[in-house]
Amino acid sequence: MTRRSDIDIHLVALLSAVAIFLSSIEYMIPKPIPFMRLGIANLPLILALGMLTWREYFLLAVLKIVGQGIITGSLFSYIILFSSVGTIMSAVAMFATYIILKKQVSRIGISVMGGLFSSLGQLLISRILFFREATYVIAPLFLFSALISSVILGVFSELFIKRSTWYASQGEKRI
Amino acid sequence: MNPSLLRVLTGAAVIPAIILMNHLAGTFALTVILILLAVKEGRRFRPLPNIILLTTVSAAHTLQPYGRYLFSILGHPVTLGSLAIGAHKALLLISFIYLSHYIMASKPVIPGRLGSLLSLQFYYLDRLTSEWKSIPHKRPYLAVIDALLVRVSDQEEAAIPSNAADIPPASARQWQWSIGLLVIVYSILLFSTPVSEMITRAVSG
Repeated sequence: MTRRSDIDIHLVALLSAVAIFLSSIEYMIPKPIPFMRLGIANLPLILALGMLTWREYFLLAVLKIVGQGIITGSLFSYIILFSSVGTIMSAVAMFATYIILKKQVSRIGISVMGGLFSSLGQLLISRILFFREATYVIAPLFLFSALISSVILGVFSELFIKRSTWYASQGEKRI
Repeated sequence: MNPSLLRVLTGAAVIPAIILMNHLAGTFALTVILILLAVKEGRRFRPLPNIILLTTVSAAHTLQPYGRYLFSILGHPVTLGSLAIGAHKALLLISFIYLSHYIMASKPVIPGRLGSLLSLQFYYLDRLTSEWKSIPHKRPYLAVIDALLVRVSDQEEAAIPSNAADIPPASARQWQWSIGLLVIVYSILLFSTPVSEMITRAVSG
């Protein structure tokens, strides 16, 4: 049991470090529209499905939120609220989709679910706390951009899983 | 408190100053301090990758014109605001890289289960940034990320944290260094904006 626990800590730490690392790469890329982003920092959350227990998975999501907040400088601003709700809703949706549908859904489908729920969570926060009715104006473009970026991320994840030697080597650690 | 934990806490205390700093000169000063700290702890500083990062990120941000017009290249306007945003982002990233190097100068030993997890997270982040620099070709991204994960995972054994009880406590000199660093960093944060406003006012007459 101790050994299994050690491996999990390593995997959570490694994947959270990768999420922070990818956040920093994404941060360097200018955005044409403020909310439009690829979300490559979510790659570890997609890859972690099937590798981590639900506790470890949500610990990874929390570490990603904090790390991303530090890298982007949003940790002490209201933006962290959007990031937190988006990531948690996305993590819940992706984990539930994976558990319920297992082999019947690809990582593209999981990524789209994550992107959709992340956007819905952020729109909800925007509607309740900040932009009120104006949220409905931005919602279609926001959801559309999330759909496009989540499909791209899903395709990237699917390809990564098929071709990655690292992912293949993690086979014995899967739950 | 062991020296590595003191370094982690000092590093963590510097993070708010880096995030809250919204002045380019202040961010530059903090970046220089963090580079010097990392070098003092035995980490290597290579100027070229940092200059390339600063230049490319600043150049990429000129695609979104903002602020005062400076000049144009092939009909594309280069603006002061967009250059400043790009430079600020690049400096922020460079400062976090060297802060990570400073924290990881010796393997951090944070007590408790969460402490072990954070120690490992710092360790892997440090390895990822170091390995990323050593990979000559950054494309295709898929293969590069895979190579990074393989390289970093291979060092899993080296990542196991030591026992905090086995390490002697931090010396008075190490405490002085940490407190001095925080005083300097937060002085820069507090005075950079008023001082820069005074200079701007003096220049504009």
